Amino acid sequence: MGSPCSGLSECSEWVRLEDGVLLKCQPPSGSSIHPRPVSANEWLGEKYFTGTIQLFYRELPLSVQEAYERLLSRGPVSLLHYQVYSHLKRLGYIVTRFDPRVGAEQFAVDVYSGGGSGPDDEVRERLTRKVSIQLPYERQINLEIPSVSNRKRKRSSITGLETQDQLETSGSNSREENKSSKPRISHCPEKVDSFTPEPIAFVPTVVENMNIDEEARNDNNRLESNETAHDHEEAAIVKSKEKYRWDFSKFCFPNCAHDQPYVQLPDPEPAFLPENVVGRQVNISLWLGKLNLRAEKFSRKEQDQLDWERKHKISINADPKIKKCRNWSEYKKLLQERERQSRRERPAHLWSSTVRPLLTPGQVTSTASVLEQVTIISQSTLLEDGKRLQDKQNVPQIHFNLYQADGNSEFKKSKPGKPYAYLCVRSFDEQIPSLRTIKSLAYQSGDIPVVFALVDCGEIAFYAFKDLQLPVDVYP
Amino acid sequence: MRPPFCKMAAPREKTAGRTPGGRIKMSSDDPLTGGTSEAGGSWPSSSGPSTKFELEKETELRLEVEGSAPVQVELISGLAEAFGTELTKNKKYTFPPGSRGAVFTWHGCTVQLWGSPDVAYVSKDTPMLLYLNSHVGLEQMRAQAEREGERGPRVLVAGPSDVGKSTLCRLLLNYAVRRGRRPTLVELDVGQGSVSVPGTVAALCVERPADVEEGFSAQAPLVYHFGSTTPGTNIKLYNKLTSRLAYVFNHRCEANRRASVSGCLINTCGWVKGSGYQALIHAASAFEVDVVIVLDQERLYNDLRRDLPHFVHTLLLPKSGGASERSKECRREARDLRVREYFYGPRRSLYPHAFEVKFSEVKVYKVGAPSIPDSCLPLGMSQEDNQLKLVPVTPGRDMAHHLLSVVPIDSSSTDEGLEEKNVAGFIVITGVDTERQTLTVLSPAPRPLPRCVLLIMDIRFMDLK
Repeated sequence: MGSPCSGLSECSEWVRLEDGVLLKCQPPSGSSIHPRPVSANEWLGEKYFTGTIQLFYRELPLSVQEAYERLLSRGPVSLLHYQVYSHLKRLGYIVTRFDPRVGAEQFAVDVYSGGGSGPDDEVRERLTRKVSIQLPYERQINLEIPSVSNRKRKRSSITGLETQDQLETSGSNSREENKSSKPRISHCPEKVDSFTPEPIAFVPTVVENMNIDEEARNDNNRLESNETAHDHEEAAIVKSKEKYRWDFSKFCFPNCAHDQPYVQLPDPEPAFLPENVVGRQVNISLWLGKLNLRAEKFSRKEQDQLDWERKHKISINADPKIKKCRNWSEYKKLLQERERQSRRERPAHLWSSTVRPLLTPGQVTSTASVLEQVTIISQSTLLEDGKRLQDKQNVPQIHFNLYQADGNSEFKKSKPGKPYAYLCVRSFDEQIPSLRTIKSLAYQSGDIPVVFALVDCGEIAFYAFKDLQLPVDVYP
Repeated sequence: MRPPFCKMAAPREKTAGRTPGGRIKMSSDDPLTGGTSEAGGSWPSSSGPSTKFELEKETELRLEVEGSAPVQVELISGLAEAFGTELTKNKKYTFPPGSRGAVFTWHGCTVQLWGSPDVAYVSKDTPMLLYLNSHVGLEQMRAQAEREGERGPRVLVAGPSDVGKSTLCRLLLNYAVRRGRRPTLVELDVGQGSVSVPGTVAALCVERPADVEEGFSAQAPLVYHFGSTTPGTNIKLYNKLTSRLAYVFNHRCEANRRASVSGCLINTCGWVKGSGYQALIHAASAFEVDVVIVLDQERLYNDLRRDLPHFVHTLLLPKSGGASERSKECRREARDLRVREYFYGPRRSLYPHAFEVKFSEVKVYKVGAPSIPDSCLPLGMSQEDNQLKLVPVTPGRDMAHHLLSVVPIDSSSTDEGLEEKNVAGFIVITGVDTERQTLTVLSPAPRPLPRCVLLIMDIRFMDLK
């Protein structure tokens, strides 16, 4: 707050800006003016433009050009930003500079980080609830997530804003986001099916990156899928023991796995020890807790793959024919036999040349997986990979928070609440934002829509990117 | 190298009263007993370069040498071993900077340490008894194989990186050799292999316990060129080489009864996810393993139990506390050291030759064509075959400092299947002169190069120091 200069003190309130520029409030507005800490320069520019304030420099009013130059040329505000700001302001929105802490519940913790298992579940659930964004899989299983934002922001018809078609679009986008936190089965299934394996009616064991042996083995598993899985140890015991080359019950091997009942190892036979070595009885139980010391790091994809395998892949020993194999040569013969069988069924003109069909028989089990195999462009949602991209440099920033200012808005300066949208200002001359940029911004903003304001010589157009489902065939 | 590892250091230790400290850290992995009591009160208060350790039975002295000076270890009394190799009394063993060592005793012993390692502590908590029991199990299998005229146990050791896979292999091999067996070490770890330079897979017949300082003596190892430090760069080649090693090993077993009964120990990469895991399954199948030992990781154990047939016995064993995680730089340095040792010998006892070779005299190939994005291929065309293709490389500046495998050829043979031929040796290109069309190479043997083709690796080696 600057002290009023002599000769001008009778006018009204004065605010001293930097460089000795004085701000004078025009009588009609009446109320005192405090440049808001947020968006001060834009705000001033806007007020100046509408004639609510006047600017003086050394007791002389600034020309329009000078005023704009002073307000906009330096500091964080560029002309582009100002244009967008004033445009929206005049349309009746409340616009503040982007502050990630305000309102928007950020993705404080990566909701995508792996490991939805164990004690993390609760934390994770809480987080998910907070950001009110569902993973596709959660949407699929109709996980009920009471959205905080639903209560915060009442949906209302946007009065006086109908002119803003683009914004309307983004608005409805965000509304849809909110709605979608309730189960929306009718909209979702195609989307969801396309990149998560179908949980029901699943025939065990297919993994894409298996080598040929594995494939053959899998073929078999599929054939015998009705067989229930037995513990193969059990199966081994049922077998008459002399059939096997090795009878491992006779050998004394320590095993710290939890499925092993033996914890006390006997005295090793001295005959088997190297000279100068003495063994003794040992209790394994001490070591049971000293496993898994080297933590394993998984990418999300690997984690998904693992979870999937854990759920759907059964032991190859559940196959009775493999159970009957007593050694590797029998086992390999069986696999070869199966391989040959499956080859024999294939017509030569299709399979013996270099150009072969995309799918091998038995490689996939459902229409969904067939379609997934032949997909040319894999699906990706805006929020995928966001965390990873976050680390990269040169990601454009969100510039403004946009709030609605109608009767239903609960915006307060002290407690702005959740923004209606985030604005990212770009010049028309700039490159179209890359997918990386869009994803990264979408990740930053969480469930609040990001709107790109493209400024072309003062003309402003608004664009928002939306997750879209490409039409796919309906399959079971 | 610093000279002061003379015997002058010994009396200094007795002149007590120096302040403690130095670079020796003391810690214990057994919080209940505490560190100092365990060291048997032998921990001196002096910071002199000589330290005496009284080891109780079944304890281990662990060393990590990181500074610039090596550390020497001497067994004063009792019996002790380093990864299964018995220590000779009153002989000084040198651990160079960057190395790790452990002295274990079954009976109790006194060990004198010269120099100041970064980490030196006595641990009571070793899984040695479990490892010994594994050895006993394998020995029982060998005894049965001997009786019945069968094949001995083939063991695959798997686990994530830095859990002591190589060490366990070394230990079990040493124990087997000490029992008079002739086991085979199959080294599938292309990153940190112990038989040859990195970027290769190899097999080695073990006829005597490993040297404490130099490891197993590589008299006539069977080495195949892989070309990179991770199997992921060309998994197809990796699996092919695994099969090839298994094939050759089977042949040897047919010819040599003793080797057959003794079986083999297969050391694998620490990459145990995705294709790395599939490579493990492939290795198990190629070698027809009988026992799989998984270190530390229960996840891997469960997966292997699921995906290996029931007649394969899978074990889960804890890792030793001494196996601590190494950084990327540390691994890179270790790799560099392996290459250096190849050319200069473990104690710089060898003198490699440097000479020039004309471009026209050598044929250089790379295994595996660069992969083309799938979208560039005709629909349905698979590009997998590219991975085994031999691509000629024109000598040029970018070849400098690369490591190359020398694969000998005879006049009749074609270039087909070169990647499956064993490697005679390695050279490093130290300089490229494009004007004179010559390469300067560092070679273990004098000129000329044998009649051969060269397979280029991704691995680079700077011949500095």
